Amino acid sequence: MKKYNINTLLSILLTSVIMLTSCSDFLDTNPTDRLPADKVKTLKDAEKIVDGFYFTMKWNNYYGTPLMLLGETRGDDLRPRRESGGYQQIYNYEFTPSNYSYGDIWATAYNVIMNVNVFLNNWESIEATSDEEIAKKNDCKGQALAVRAFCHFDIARVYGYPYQKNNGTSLGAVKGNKVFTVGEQAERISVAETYNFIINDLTEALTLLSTDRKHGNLDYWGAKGLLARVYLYKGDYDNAFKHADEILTDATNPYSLVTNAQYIDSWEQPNSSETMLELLTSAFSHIDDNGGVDSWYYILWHGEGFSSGNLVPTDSWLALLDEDPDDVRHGLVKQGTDAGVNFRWLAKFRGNNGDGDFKINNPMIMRLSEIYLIAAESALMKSSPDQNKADFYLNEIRKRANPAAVQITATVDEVLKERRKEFIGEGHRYYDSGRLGLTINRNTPDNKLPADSKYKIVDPWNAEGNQYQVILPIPQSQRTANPAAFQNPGYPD
Amino acid sequence: MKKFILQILLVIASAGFAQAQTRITGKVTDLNTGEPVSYASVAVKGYATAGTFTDDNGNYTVNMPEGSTTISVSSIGYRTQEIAVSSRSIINVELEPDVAQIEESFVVAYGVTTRGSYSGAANVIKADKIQDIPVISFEQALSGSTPGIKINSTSGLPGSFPEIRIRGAGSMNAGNDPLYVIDGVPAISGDLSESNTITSSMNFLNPGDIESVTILKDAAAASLYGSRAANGVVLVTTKKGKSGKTQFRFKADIGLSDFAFDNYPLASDAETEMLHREAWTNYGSVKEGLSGTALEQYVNAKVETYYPSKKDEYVYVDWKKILFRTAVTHNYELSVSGGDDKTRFFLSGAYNKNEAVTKGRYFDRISASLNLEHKVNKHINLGAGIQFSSTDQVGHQEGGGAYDNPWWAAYGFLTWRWPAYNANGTYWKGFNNGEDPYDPNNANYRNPLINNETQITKSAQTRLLMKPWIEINIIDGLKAKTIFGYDGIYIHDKFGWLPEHANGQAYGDGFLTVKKHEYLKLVSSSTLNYNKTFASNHNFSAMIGWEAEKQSNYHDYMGKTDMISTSVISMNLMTNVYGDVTDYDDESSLLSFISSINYNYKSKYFFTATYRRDGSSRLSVNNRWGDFWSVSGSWRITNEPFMNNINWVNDLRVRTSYGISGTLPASWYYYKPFYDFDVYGNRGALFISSANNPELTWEKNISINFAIETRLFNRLNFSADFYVKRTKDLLMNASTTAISGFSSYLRNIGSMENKGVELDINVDIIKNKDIAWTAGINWTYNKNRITEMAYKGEEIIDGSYILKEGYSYSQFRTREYAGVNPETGQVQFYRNNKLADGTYNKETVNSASDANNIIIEGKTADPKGYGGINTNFRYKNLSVSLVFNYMYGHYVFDQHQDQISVDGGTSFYRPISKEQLKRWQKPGDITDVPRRMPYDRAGYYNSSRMLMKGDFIRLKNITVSYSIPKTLTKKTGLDDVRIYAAGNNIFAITDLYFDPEAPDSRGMAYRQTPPIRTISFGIEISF
Repeated sequence: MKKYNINTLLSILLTSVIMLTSCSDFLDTNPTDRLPADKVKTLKDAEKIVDGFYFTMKWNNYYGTPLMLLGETRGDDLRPRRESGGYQQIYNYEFTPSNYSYGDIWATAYNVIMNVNVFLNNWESIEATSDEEIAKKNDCKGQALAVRAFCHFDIARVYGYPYQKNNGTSLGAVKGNKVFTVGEQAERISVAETYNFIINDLTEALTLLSTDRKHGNLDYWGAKGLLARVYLYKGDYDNAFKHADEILTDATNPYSLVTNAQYIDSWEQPNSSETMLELLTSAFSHIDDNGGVDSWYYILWHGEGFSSGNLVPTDSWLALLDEDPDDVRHGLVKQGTDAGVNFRWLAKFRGNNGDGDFKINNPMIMRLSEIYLIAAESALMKSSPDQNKADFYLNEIRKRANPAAVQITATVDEVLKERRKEFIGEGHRYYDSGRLGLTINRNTPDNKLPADSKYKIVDPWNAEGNQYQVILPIPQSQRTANPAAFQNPGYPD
Repeated sequence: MKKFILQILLVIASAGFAQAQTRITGKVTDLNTGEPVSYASVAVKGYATAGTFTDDNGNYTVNMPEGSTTISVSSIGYRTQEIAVSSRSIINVELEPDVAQIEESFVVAYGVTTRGSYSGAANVIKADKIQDIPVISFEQALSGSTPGIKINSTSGLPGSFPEIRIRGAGSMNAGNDPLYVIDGVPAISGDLSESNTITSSMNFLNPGDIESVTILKDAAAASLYGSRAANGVVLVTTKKGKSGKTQFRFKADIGLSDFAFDNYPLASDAETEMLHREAWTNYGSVKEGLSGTALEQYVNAKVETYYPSKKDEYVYVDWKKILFRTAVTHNYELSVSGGDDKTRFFLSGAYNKNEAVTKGRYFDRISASLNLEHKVNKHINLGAGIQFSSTDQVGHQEGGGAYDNPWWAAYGFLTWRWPAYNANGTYWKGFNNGEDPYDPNNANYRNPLINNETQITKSAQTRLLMKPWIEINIIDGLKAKTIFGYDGIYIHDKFGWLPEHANGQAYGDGFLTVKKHEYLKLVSSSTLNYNKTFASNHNFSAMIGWEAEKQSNYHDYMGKTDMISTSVISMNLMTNVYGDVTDYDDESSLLSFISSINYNYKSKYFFTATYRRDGSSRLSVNNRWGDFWSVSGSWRITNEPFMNNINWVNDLRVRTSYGISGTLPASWYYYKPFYDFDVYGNRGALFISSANNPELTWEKNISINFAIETRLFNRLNFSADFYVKRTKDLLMNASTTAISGFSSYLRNIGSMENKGVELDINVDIIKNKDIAWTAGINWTYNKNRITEMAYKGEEIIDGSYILKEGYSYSQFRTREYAGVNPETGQVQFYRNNKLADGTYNKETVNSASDANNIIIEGKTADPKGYGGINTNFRYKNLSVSLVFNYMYGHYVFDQHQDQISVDGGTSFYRPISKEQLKRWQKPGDITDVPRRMPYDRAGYYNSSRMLMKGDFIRLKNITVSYSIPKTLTKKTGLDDVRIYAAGNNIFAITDLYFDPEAPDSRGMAYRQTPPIRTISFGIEISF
């Protein structure tokens, strides 16, 4: 009897040991308020994850502020209104590896890339059976690839020299083709390799993406537009033209230019007919954690009883606009006054809802107008120039601004001039000068540069001179954490 | 049982020799205490069958066979005495305790050991050191009691949790709190504070239910707890039943509490006005160039603005008297213990009611403890321990930002000239002047009396700890034991403001949050023990076992605004949901294999090895299993033959240990990617909030210990421990490669070292029947140093600290205060300009903004020494015990001074520190306090002015206890009656002007309720 008791108890004991140790699940625990990345199964989750990419891109560490700020403040379209106002650092190219208080694009872009790659790793396990579901699943992957390309493109143009400066032989991005573990190091690839990676991603994305129009997400057309832009930056005008022209000539393209009559209002109405990608904001989803106060649009806004307007259009840009008094885009510039000083400020981004809440503004990433101007420029530059197409596409934009405008013959200069007028505030100008190696003249009477500034005339290709700050440094913390990724030339290291 | 059989045998034996015997009677008592020694053996030398045992009262009667001459009286723990009978018939014997022989056994990791055979570093604190001290949680009674342990109070509110550091801080991010193990079950521990109440997880235990506390300090002692043991382990053993008479014990005490220290003395009304006047006079003359009547008018107007004269329509009070009180605490305990040779039990219930010194706040606890043991047969023992408690707590927000903290209001905000009431008796709500800074709409001021009544800060907590166990003696020497542990904590917390509160108004018509937090832990451990002596000299024991543990945290949160009624405070009577309504339940699990081997040869050479393998759910699949082990040995020199003749050395041993234990990340899910939820535009979006971090692992703590322990002259115990603790793979939020998606993340990078010495001396100064006097001192020195940062040369600015290789974790970094210019009275700081050769050039500047932050070399929060001094004195039935604790050589940073010592600065509507009376007044004055000059506000800025020596010694605990003589109690039918008075934090000697134990373990003194002093009077009756 006693023996029996002991044996029973021992066997209970042993069984419980075996049960628990053999149960490998015992050590796999998960929280209930967060979704483990490796447990993503449903299409619905996949779509939310894809939305998450754009959610991060719109943040005030990326498109919501610094990408725009760097694209404009380094150029000649916008200038600080006052001697001090917070943007002198960027205006005067005072970049150092340890100070990137304007926003860490490097880290944010790689955060998005990591999100993409984690998703791509789990993509196969998303359940889809019907054709419709499979199409959606493919579309998710297409968006992920296109977003990844987008981020690499931004890293290349912010941290790498322009492709055409030296055929992309300088340092570009770290190739984000996988999920890096915390602490894992990797080298930078060249700008050319970065462009190849981008083009590969976009080419694959185009085979997967839906041609249905989307809002706040990339669709087939957006990705194709990005591909056209990438080829334009690369100087591959044949391909730039091919893709831009294909968009514009495809009858199924759901986008169309906003009309002259709609133009001003379209800036306070999300999802205008030509919006190919804007990032979504709302009262529940600001650009920052601060109710929108740290957004790009707050910097520009002046308005009644509100004295920001820290960056205003330059005299040279205003002169361009003033060339045609009937240009509809005059409606985007307002007269302001502060401390007895009169000035004109850019009232382009007036809030999503037309209620003047400029803190809630969808960052505009790509519009059909850009595709027109890419097509115009590349038509002139491609191996077999097509003046007719160039004239057509350029004049479409000019006539939209003023239907009475006279037809002109397209030249690259005219296209670039039109780009300045059309895209002010959308973060293109500096990169346009950069990709073509055009000097930027900021030595004008209205500049607020320090007297000894080296950057009164900016030569984005002349980094060998003393203008090494024409591209941004890799953040010092990254040089420390990832010494395999080298610093850009000229910066202290 | 055994005793009974022996008695029968003796009766039979003695009967046989009845004829030829003489009869001797007597009483055996303890030489030191005079207490009877029961069950002592009284043997007749040379006559094995003769002899007897003493009864419960120490009395014996022995029949001496013909020819016998000598009796031998012995009892475990006493020196055997041989006594020649001569022709006496009454022989009373006083036995001398043999301390070397009383090898107190104590609880260690997964077992019990004795001092002489243990080679780890552990200290035991017995119940008698804890039971009378008027504290809510036992940890508060440990200060000064034992070397190597440093305790900082965090708040003087009842129920708050002290910070305990065993052998220094070994971690930066993963926590430095020890692991708590109660009766073999690793319990939920740490800070269970909610937003409004500060709560220690250990205050569920009634200190009166604790039998002993063992502090495990080195790897040999702690590494059997593996990946959680790096900060040391606190083993708590609860009281168990004793067989014999059913013993009732009732204990009641009542205590009175107030602040333990005269914190931050404030200037009187007249002094305050004078200081205001002086400030504005200086300002008017120096900055505004005024003099004569113009100056006088200017000063009068300014003083009236910032320190307005009292008005008849208001009632003024002494705020400290209004907001604080002499708090009353009650404590009642009743326990029953008893049993027979098969079943033993201990059952207790206690009620503890504690008012806070801050009016309106309290902590009440009902607790019960039940320990049962039953011997089924010679193979099977089983039992269970159950501890239950229910606490009810009303606290308030602590810290500087909360106007609801009455201590902060009284010492940082209210002046003699803030009215409390209007003349008609209603609460004063501000002057009727919109421009006035006293305007109630000005967020700078609220009447704390209104706040007191209109804040909701209630937390109720229920905890049940159940520990059933079974032990099977399989064969002689082989034993199996399984313990199951269930530890459940349920917290229900209400926090908010009524509509009358300014914050309640800000949210609309009142605001309330309800939080439910449930912590649940299930543990099961099973061990197999084998014990065997080979060839009579080789003693061998081994243990193997496993342990599985799962902890779950359930949390619900909801907030609402707009109360329909304030008669009942409930979500039901509120209209609008406010903010996120959230819930989560997280799980963490641990699976372990444990083993140990002990071997000793002739009780001279001891060797122990332990090994534990832990698998944790907090780490990635490939990285979650880790090995923790220790080896240790000791040599008991006194057991060597060559020591036989050295009688004054009663015990001498050296021991040493080496081993590795760990600390798991505090966050449960930091090793793999998880999606969090947010909103993109108007639709949901998922984004990854945690990185792919498969390399994440525990901190590794490698510890070396060497010690010598001795007892000399049968009076003096001395021990010295030398240790080095190295933490590798520190868990830090360090920069990482942004390509992983995060530019900073929890990583294992860097190392830290704690080196130290612990000394403990205890002397029996007098020990005899009527008088006993012991005294002891312990001293600990711990040196902390960061030996490696994440990256070479990296410096992390951590508030007023710097984390840098070669410096302590508690190294201060702030502006350097350069005192007061004796000619001008202006404040001076140093601007330290780094020169090319790396040295600094000190430039004296007059403005804080021109000064720069710099490492204040040599000033850390690490003491050069700390410990305790204790003494126990007993005269007959009266005993007095004192425990002092002390700490010296460290610096503390006063975060409160910027409110009240701003040298006339901008915070005009504040009380003024008495320190300002030492201000500079005229050229030639030598002082550290600058002139009073509005807007200069030197004291407003952090600087080394706030950094001061923290040295103190404090009478921590005192107990005076008197046992009514048994001759008197017997008549009443009671076994024991004891009355006592006890107190803690009686007085402190220090140069500081605030409580020297208020700063936290890194020397930071925040604006929170300082420690309290409690003096209690009680009675304990056993029957």
